[in-house]
Amino acid sequence: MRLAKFVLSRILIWFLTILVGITVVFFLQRMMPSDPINNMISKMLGMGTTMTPEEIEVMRESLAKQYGLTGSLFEQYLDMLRRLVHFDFGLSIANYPTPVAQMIGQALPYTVCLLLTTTVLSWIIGNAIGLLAGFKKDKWYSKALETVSMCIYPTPYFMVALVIMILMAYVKQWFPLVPAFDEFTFTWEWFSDAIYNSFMPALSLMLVGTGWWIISMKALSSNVAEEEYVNYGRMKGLTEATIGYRYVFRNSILSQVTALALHIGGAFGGSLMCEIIFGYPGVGQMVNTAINNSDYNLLTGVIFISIFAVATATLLIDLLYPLIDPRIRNS
Amino acid sequence: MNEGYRASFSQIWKSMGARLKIGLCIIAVFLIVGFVVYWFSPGDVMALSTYKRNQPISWEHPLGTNRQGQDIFWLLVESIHNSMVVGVVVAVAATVIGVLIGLFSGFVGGAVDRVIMFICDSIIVIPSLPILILMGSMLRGRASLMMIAGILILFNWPWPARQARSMALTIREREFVNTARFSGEGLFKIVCVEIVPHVLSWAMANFVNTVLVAIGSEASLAVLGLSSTTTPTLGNMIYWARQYQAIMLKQWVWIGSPVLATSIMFIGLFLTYTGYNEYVAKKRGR
Amino acid sequence: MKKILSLAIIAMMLMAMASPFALAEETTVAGTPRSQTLVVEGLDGVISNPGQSNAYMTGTNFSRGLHQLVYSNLWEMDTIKGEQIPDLAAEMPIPLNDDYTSFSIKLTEGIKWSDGEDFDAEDVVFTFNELLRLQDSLPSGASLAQIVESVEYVDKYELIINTVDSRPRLSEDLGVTVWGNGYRIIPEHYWKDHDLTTDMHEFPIGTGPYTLTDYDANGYWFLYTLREDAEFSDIGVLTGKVPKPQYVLFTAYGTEERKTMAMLNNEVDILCDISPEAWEVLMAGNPNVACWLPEYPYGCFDDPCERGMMINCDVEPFNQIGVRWAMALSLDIVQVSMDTFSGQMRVSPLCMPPTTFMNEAFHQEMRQQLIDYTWEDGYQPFDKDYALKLQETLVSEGYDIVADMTEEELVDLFGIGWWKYDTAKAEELMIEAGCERDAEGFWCYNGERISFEIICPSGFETQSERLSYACQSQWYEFGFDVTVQASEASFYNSADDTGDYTVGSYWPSCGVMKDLYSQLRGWHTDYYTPSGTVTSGSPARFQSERLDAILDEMAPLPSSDERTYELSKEALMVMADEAAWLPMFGTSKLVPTNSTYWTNYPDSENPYNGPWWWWSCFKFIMVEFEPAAV
Repeated sequence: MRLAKFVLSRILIWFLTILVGITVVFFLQRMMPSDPINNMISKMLGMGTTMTPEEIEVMRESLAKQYGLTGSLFEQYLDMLRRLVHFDFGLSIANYPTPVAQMIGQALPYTVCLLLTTTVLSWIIGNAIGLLAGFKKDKWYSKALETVSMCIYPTPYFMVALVIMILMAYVKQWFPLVPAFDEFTFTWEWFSDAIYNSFMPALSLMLVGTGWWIISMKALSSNVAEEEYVNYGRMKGLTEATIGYRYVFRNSILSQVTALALHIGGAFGGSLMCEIIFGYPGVGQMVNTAINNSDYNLLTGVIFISIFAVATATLLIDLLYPLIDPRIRNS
Repeated sequence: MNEGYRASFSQIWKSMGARLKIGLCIIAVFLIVGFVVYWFSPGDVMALSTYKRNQPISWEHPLGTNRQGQDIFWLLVESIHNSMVVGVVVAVAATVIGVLIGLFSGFVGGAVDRVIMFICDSIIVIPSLPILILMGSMLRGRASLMMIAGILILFNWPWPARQARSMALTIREREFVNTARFSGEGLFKIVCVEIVPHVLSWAMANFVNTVLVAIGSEASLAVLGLSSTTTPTLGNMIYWARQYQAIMLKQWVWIGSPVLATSIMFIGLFLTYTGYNEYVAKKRGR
Repeated sequence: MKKILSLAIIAMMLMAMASPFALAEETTVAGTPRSQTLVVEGLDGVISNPGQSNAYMTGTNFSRGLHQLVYSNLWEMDTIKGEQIPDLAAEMPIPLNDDYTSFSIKLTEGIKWSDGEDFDAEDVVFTFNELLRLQDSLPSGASLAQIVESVEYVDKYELIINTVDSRPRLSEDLGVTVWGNGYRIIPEHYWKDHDLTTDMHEFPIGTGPYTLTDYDANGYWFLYTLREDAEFSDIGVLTGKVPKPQYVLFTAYGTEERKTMAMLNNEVDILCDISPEAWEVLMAGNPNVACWLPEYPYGCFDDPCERGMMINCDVEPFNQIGVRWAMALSLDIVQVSMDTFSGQMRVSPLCMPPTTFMNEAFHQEMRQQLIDYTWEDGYQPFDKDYALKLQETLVSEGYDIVADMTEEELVDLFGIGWWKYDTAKAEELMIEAGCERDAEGFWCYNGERISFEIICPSGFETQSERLSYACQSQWYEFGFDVTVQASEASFYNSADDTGDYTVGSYWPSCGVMKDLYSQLRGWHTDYYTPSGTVTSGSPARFQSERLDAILDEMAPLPSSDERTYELSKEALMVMADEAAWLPMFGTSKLVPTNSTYWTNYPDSENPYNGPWWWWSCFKFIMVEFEPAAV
């Protein structure tokens, strides 16, 4: 009963979070100082056509109808909510009439793969190194590792990214400047190709991500390593490896799991910078173009998906958390 | 203060104290540069062609001049000043707002608590950078640095609020609060007199961390050209250097000085943050 | 742990090296042999809807090769001569009556569509009729309906167009003047069974020499392959030549750093537009890279739009001509030029760009008139010594290349001159206009400080962006409380359409011909709408009875009438006199080419065409490219 209540309340929060997020985004966009119809008209005028005010009025109506921007703000809002339930984001305004869902569907797998791989990998690597550094904190290599991560982590991300790009794609032409992905096929060639093409963005995200996990894990595990029961374990004659795993690892990994949940939202934002610098074909790149073209529908779609994904990830980790932490499960 | 605790802790504490000390030293240097040296600035540092362009390092121009004819040293000083102002304003506001709301929420409990925590959770979950970019481009130009700070505050208060609330929940159960409550003191007074001192040490750490987050976020926006481009900040300096291809032209001082300054400042803040946490933890442990 | 990590990275790299792309260095991203592929940077970067090539659906992007290589218009532009040339139409429209409402159009014979069908009048008639029929759902149809009343089929290679109103310049409405034209001719045999409003037309049928054969699903590149029957494409029939590159690849690079690196590495043959700094990098790093001019200032000045500061004439006190003049006289234009593009621009006080053609036709022609130009109070605002002053500044910065040039050469290169830098006169004009300085030295009007923002594009059109920072710096010094507001394309464009700005860094007048009517008619009061409503053609909200009178006189004349040229010059003088806006420089485009794989690009020494890779006339340019001798 208590479990059901816990799960239900979490799901309610999940739902409301998404609703709040999407509402904020909808009204923020409508406050933007430009509207897509003017934008489209300017584009046409930019091509050398001159129109009288009457001609423009005709054009405006025709475009408003096309873009589904008729009706009051509230009607548009309700209409959007109704469509969102079916993941229908309408048609892109700048790339009319491509459906937004199709465009997101094209870009999303790239972002998800990149983020998931780098986040999980850097979480594992960072925690492993951090654990080692915290458990053996007086060894020279622990100190060296920590110093290095202390220096990399606070460096502005785009600088790390630019340095990687210049070194690996320009000075040494190891990796391509323009990531190119073929049509997906389930073959070894495709995967090796994809790894090759996304190596630089992944590396930059991992360098920065790993640094943080090393630092935080080291802090946690060195605290745990100081606890009485660790000394007690030593006196009992347990091997260092057993102590490291049974006491230090299991006690410090818990908060790292929660931290991972909260980290996902930030990681999504981070991928935006990454995608712009490396020209990686993901959702972040799309947000950028959508803002440039004041493409309401595309923007709503992308932000909805990102809020949805992050909220869902958080929900899942929240729900899984009791399974990992016996203290919470029992209480 | 350093002397006192240094003497009383073992070798390990000493090394941890060093971390805090280094951090504080770095921050002190930046404070001096950003708020003392800043006052000697020779006027409008953003004005174009104030000096001859592309001058090397000299006594007159400690870091040379850039392609826009600006003095890189003074540009850097003003950038550090502005970035720190953003960081501090955001951190003060977000921490104060967050801690107060969190304490209030945790202490009052019930429906109010649930609503407040729900709002916090929503804001924490919403990916902030896309929305910051959206708001940045909406407000750009019209947005002063302080408006950017305002947006950052909006996204940074829920975190301390959540922490403060959970702290309030544990503190609430403790003896002295119950004593105070039974002795008939008002809620506000209890929070201020009894709880705030407990929360303060934690809030300090959060403050330092928020300074870091705020400077970092502003820099990210600025590097994309979404901050106020005519106000020099560390991020804006990088933006302009990149606009003029400083990397490819190997004008390392121009692009390097803000990057290095940001990195060192972040390392300093970070050392202070972790060092302080350890210091507090050890003090409690004793 | 560290070891394992580094081992893993090395393993990944090795694996990557073994991948097909890394091994075969001589292929492009699209898998074609590099030596047979011309690689061009697409103007608009990554295309989010790469599968849409329909010529009339709203979101189709044409600068990614579609209008350069596949689609054609009835008339093209010869950018060097400044006149229209036939493309699908064999000659200019022949007016059938005196009020220019009915025209006979003769078509070029022998052109085939890329699927082998003959191109003929049925296609043209179908294109226009279909657009008119769909005018409610296609924006291009709605705008065509303002021009064309009806179309009649005469025979296989002739048709008649009846217009709604008098259209002495029909070929400019329906053909290319600048960049391209929206009315691209589409094949009847395909579209009679397909819906023009919804069919994506993924691999379009065109009359150009290439067909789109492959593209990246993420919109990063588009591959065009030479038609087997390219001699029957419009280019083949008109020039008698067939382009040499077997493939043309349009790619996106994103940031300027990446573009620059790609060209340094010979990955790309042609870039659209880069900053002077990136050019410096390229010049130093790759001997095969060249620009329009072999020496300083390198760039091409022939882009047909004039850059400068547009002032919203609806906003007080800028509605006063005196204030606008004060803004001009308070600018040290030499310094502005240095701050913007290190002096690599040609100055122009007239509202038309000083392109090779226009500079000769208008600027040089009118220079004496400008020198003699005198205000009622006897003041002569023109400063003819701009080029000499710029030379002095450049030499002091170490650009020795301009040290030995004669005055005449300098004037040819840097322009005829601009308005004087005379803050005393500017001060006088401001006070005359009822402005005064406050305690801090800022200008006030009606007791309020004059604060404004210069809006400028951010992330595209570097020249305009930098120009606004350069002006801001100087106006601030003169006492205007001014800042710069750099905006994304959408905000920037709608600000000028709706009049939601005070000063903007724009390019409001473009021109390529002696007859300026098409370009200037937007400045007629007929097009005026007050700030807050959408406008077209009159973003400056400028109104002038003198200009209206000239434009009214020009309207009924065809371009061929010599009188239009005289009237055009008069119109320019009126616009300068009333400071309609503050034109400053022609557009300076650094358009680098890389001769590692292809040669014979147009440049100043071989100017068979302009370097307009993103215009529809690219097919006429690229037919001249030769493979590099290996």
